[in-house]
Amino acid sequence: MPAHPTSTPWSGRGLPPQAHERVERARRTQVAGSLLSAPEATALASVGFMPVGEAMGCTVQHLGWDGYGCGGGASYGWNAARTVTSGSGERWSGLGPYVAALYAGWHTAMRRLVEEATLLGADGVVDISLTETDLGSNNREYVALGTAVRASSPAAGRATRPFTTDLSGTDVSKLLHAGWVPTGIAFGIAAAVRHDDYTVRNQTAWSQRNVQVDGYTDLVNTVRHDARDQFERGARQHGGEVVLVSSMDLRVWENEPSDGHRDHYAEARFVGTAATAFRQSRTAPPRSLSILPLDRTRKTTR
Amino acid sequence: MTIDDAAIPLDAINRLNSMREGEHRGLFTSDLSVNEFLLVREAGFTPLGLVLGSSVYHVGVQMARWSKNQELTTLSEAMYHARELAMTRMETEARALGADGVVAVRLDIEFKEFGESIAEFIAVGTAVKADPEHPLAPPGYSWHNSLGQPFTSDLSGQDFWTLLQSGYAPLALTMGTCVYHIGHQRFWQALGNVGANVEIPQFTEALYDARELAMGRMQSEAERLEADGIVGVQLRSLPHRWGGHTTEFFAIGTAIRALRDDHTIEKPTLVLPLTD
Repeated sequence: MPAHPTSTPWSGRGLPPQAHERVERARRTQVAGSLLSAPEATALASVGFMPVGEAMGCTVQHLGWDGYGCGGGASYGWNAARTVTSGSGERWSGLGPYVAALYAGWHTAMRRLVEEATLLGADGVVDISLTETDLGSNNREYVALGTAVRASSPAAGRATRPFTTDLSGTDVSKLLHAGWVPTGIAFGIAAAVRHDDYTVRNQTAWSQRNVQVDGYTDLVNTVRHDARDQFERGARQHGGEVVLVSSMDLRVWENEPSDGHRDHYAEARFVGTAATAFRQSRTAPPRSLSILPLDRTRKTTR
Repeated sequence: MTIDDAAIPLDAINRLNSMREGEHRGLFTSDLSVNEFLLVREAGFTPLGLVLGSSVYHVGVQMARWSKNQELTTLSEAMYHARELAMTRMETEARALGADGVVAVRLDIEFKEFGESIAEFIAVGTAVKADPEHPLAPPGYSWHNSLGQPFTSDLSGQDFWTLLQSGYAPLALTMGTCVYHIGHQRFWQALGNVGANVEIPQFTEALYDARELAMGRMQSEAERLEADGIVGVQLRSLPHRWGGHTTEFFAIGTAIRALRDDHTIEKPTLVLPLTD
């Protein structure tokens, strides 16, 4: 039985004592846990990576202030509005702290996961799943969970910091065979607000007219653009030549701070894995083999 | 495990360590899967970046006669126009990147918290640039289509690769839409069918009519591009939010053109997968 948690509460720095205990035990007993399926484990073994244990990072954050309030900022009432995004750094970008809180959640979870993986002596963490749970009263839990892997050949040097990826073990193996190595998971998050001005109200009124709603179009395009910029910045920090987007979400909601004053909010999120080539060639070297699987034909999966 | 396999992590890790230092240029994003990314590169194309176009659109209101089979032209036009807006914006982004084409295009419609008849139309794809010296690239061939635009295609990376292997080139995404109101049966008519197994010609005709209109429109788009054919056609029935009797019939596919006369591909090896 492992020692019972100490009575002094964890300071919140580094990793909780329980995490240290688990890692320490794994190192002592050489028992490596893994969340990989058999094909994934085999595929990773073919490129010389062996699982060394599960790596997890988790944090619960309280969202004290969500940036609501005067969404219109510079524009009120019936005047022409403009979209204000979290990334713009303007005086009216009250959503900045909200987005910063979301980033803090994910970055903390990822940092802890990497810390665990480093203690396990890993070179990378694959097949990371990212989950966000609303715990009520403005508390949110962020969890990153993956399998830490280590290069088995004694000749291979150690990575200064383990790479992270949300790609499956088989995908990582295919990338490595083709001369690409994942560098890290990149996030791009942005939120924006736009006041429903006269033009928007006119364009959304019940009518027989087909018309593009310029205000909303501007809102979603601006917020996505901001998120894409952030995403690219995040990927560059990891050092990547390519980022494979794994999810791309957009959430839109309405807020009515006062009577007759309506705002629309939008939040865009991009998540993906950055990768870089370690074999320089203009096109991928391996030849694909055209095969016809002898099971029930199904639609080609993407 | 061969020597080569074991050497992979060493090279990969060295590169990983070196990439972590300093700013890097030439980063591109893409929503291709790993399989698609590798296949598109093997086919002689370099991804340039994710391209995206979006339009939030208010779809007008049109009343249909309760018992009448008819196309709701206002709605058809709206579905066309909004998609065109999204596609055009995506193509503009692709041109700005200097792309030869856009692969794996997705066209989606999402009704969000904007109100009853307002939806976001979005087009997403990956812009690519062709390697002119690649063995698959025909000498002197421009990948731009007959309208002078970068090609667009909704084929997956796998299908795109196979298409090029067989000597065809994608031209453009073609689509046709028709929003159709299927008339309700009159009381006496419905009563006459009670307990009987019969075809209801009125319904059959309506569904036929709507699908033919949608496919016909897609076909005329392909004719305009002087295409040899359309592949990967999907014919979807999208009920959206208009109730049971009003449906959008949407046909979408990739118009293609032959690059050479010989269209045989390597005979595929048969495999028996050991997974479900």
